Amino acid sequence: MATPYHLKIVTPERTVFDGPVTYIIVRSTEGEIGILAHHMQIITPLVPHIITVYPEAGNVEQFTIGGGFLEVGNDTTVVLADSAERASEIDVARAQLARQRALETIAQAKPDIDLIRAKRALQRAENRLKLAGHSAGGMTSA
Amino acid sequence: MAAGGLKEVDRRIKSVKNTQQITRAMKMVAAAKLRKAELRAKKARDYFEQIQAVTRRAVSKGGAQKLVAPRTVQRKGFVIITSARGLAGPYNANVLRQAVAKMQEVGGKNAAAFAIGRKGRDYLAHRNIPILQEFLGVGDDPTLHQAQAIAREILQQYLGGEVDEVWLTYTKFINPLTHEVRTLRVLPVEEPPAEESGAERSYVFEPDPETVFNDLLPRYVEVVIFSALLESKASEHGARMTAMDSASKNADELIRQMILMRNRLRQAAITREIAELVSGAEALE
Repeated sequence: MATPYHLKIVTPERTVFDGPVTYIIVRSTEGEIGILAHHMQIITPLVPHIITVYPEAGNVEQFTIGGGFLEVGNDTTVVLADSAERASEIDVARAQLARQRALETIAQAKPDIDLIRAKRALQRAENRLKLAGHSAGGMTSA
Repeated sequence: MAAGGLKEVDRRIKSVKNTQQITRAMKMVAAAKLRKAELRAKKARDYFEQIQAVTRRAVSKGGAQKLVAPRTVQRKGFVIITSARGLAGPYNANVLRQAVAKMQEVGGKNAAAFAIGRKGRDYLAHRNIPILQEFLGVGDDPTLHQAQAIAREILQQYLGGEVDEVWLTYTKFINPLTHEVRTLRVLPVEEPPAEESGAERSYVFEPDPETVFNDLLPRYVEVVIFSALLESKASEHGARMTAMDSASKNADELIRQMILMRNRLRQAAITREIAELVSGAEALE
């Protein structure tokens, strides 16, 4: 059994996860990273993705993360997420709407900040649908 | 004349009872809103504390950056959070007193305000304190979205050099009866006290400090504002509940006294009528 360390996933609205874990997989702007205990101390921005958490006891958990930050400290790792949800908490209808909206914005393709935001929104919506077990309906070229 | 006095008292009792119904209702509404606001404020505290700690640690390790580096101060901006409505006891007065004192203390002549909430806006305008921007209509459930919009404006003014420091006055919710007016400096971000920044923390910024800060610091400002909005809202409802509770109690006391007075007046009128009848009858004999 790997050494456990403390993980906190917090959002501005609430604390989503707070407890000992052995391993997590997150995606930063630089790519996917796995974090075991005694990981190098880093601070890095996160992109919208699905985080995988291996608690010390119990089953593997997954959450959608709508972007944010990761701070790996000495014995505590903190995920500062803009939003975070378990599969059971996802509003599928809303995510589908958000996906539609994002696709439309992208289709109009104004190559400025709008596009970046729309792509992030699309990513968030597709993550939610994926985790909730609903197909995003054909991947997009975004 | 006697009957007129009696009627007058009756009318006043009715009027006070009506007012009391309103204060009772307001107390109940405030209590319901308070429960919700308190829950939200408490849930948000964790994130706020974490991002504050992370930001401060990062700042102490990361060196100078636009949002961090102090610069020659020409004008200071003060974000002041008040409520949109009154009838909350001394709530708004307390906030404004501290905010204005702080403005004079650290801001001197070149202090300007960002007013959140109508009460603060009106007060500042009345005192001729320059208002850089006002944000009204936050409502009972401040959203992260609203906080982000406010933070964006403030950051713009800060980065554009309109203000060189940003302070924030809000109330921290402690319990329904107690809140604490607090003022803190938001920008530039303060470094943590020496013992917290301890040497054992040596961070790697990925991909590089500049990118991390560009992402982290605006978010920090957003969350400071968001969290302050939630704390202030909870405090406001607490203050209103307390104020309306004591108003209802005062009304009770007032009604009790007026009923006593009414009974006394009525008794006096009866006594006088009897006296008149008796003396009238005697006169006939």
